[in-house]
Amino acid sequence: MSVTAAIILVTAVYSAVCLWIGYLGWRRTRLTPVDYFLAGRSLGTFVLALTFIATYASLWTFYGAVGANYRLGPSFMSAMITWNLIWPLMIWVMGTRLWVLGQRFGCITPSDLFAEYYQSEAIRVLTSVVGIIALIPYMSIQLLGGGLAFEAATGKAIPFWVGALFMAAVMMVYTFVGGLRAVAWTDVLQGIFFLGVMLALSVWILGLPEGGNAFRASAAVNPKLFDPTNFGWGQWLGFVCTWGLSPLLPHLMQRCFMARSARVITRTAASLAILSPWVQTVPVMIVGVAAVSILPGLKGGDTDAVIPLLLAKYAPYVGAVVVAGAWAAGMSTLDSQLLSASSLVTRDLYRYVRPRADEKEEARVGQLFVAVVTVIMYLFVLTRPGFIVVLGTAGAGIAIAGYLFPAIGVLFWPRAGRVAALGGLLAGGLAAFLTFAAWRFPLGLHNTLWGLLVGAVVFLVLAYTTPPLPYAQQARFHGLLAEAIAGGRKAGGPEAATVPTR
Amino acid sequence: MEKQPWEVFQTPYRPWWLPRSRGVRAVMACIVVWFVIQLLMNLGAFGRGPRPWILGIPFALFVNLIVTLAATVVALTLNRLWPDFSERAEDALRRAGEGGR
Repeated sequence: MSVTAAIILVTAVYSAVCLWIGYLGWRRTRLTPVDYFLAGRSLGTFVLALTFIATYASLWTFYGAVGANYRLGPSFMSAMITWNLIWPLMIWVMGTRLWVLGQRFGCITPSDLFAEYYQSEAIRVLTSVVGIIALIPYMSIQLLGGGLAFEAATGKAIPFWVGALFMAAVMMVYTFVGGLRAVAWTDVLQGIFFLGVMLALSVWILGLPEGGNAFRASAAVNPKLFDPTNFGWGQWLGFVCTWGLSPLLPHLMQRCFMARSARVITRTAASLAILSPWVQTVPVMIVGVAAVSILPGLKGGDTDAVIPLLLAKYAPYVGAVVVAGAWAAGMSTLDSQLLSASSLVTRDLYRYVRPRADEKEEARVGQLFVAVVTVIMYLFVLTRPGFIVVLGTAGAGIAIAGYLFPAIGVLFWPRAGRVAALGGLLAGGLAAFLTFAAWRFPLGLHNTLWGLLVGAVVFLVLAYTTPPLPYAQQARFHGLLAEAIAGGRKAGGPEAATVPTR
Repeated sequence: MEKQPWEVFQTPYRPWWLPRSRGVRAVMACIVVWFVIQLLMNLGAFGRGPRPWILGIPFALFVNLIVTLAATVVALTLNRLWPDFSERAEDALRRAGEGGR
């Protein structure tokens, strides 16, 4: 059997399993928004932790992060392991609060939460638009990468358009029929598969004749590889802030609403604190750094192809499993983002078209949107426009720098009112976008840092100069959080403590 | 237009950014120290060359892995420091009403 045939066979088997899981999800899913978009808030620790990590780790982890470790050495890993421990901590800090409020107020999307607290339709629409801007180009990159990986692995026997079409079709079918249940269950498969492939690759590379003493061999090839300053601090800090705060991204924030109980969300955070830094990051670093001595001399974008090149050299047939592993990483991110984008449109924008739509209609529109966006996204990536990559890369920073400030008001700081939240969202998102698209990384600082800095200044100034929300509205949210997080009812009632600040 | 009262709900965990319990404060302090060590190393404050090699691992990478391992263990203690969150949250939701499940 040829290598191409092996790749097709493994990918077909993998896709068939995903479709079967989608069918199982369809049998359990009722057509209501909570069931279709959040699996009825019923996920346990095992499924929630794996859907979190599978959604979080994308094709970039498989190719881009390995290449970055090849170029920058453990300097890049120090950033990656830092953000990969911070984001589980953020689930402890923010996810627990999001879960409580999601349960109480029936939130399905971040916009639901912000609009309910700030009582503002402008915030609802803006949050949705920022979320969609962040998600759709990012999704396109996954599809683009999946198609290119398939084309490269089969030596162009399977053209890009066929690989991308197959990936999009499989992902669309199981997401369309099974909603979040199918997405979460396939994420379990994809997460285990992806992490397993990465772990196996790292063990395998250390077992190669050249890999036995991989770090010393790589230091001999590139003496500067182990300099911790290789990854400049402006970028280091920017990447850590972007991905450390990634639970603010719509598709990850929604996962905090999906937990079955409060215990599930804290246990999930604990599981992720082990999985993300140690099972995801360290193998990626080992493969990237060990490859320096095994495949010396790669430069620039070629370093992203470290894994395919290694396998082509030593174990071409294993490439079939690895392509499926890369697909798993890409699909598990793509399906979650697709469903999240669909919920943002259906819950937050469609209500202006059909204000009286019932739950079943909302879920049907969500399904329709899944199909329509997949088709549009596929047609879009066929043209391979360069700006997708630009907007996709900047997208996460835009959403994080925008969402952080309204989230602070809802979850922590009653002082922040409607105008402050709106100002922080607009200023943060816009600054993150402009410092990537118009003026790339001024002063060497990452665009997310600029977004956070500008957003923080605007947010603070407006928080102290404009009125907070009516007291009863603050107490509705912060009173509940005070009871759930700090305990006791002392702080819950309006009589407990009012602090006239003016 | 209705006049807004300039009143701010007072949470029992003021200031809002400071954890309430001493245990959680200690954990957060450890996390901050770990973060500063990582950032200082990235700034080149120490461990710029691979020497000394420890267990076949270059010094900077070894320090990186050890401090992150310690930070992970410390972070995991959060679950022990916050054992009754689950009951409190469920109780608070029950008292607040049925909610929007």
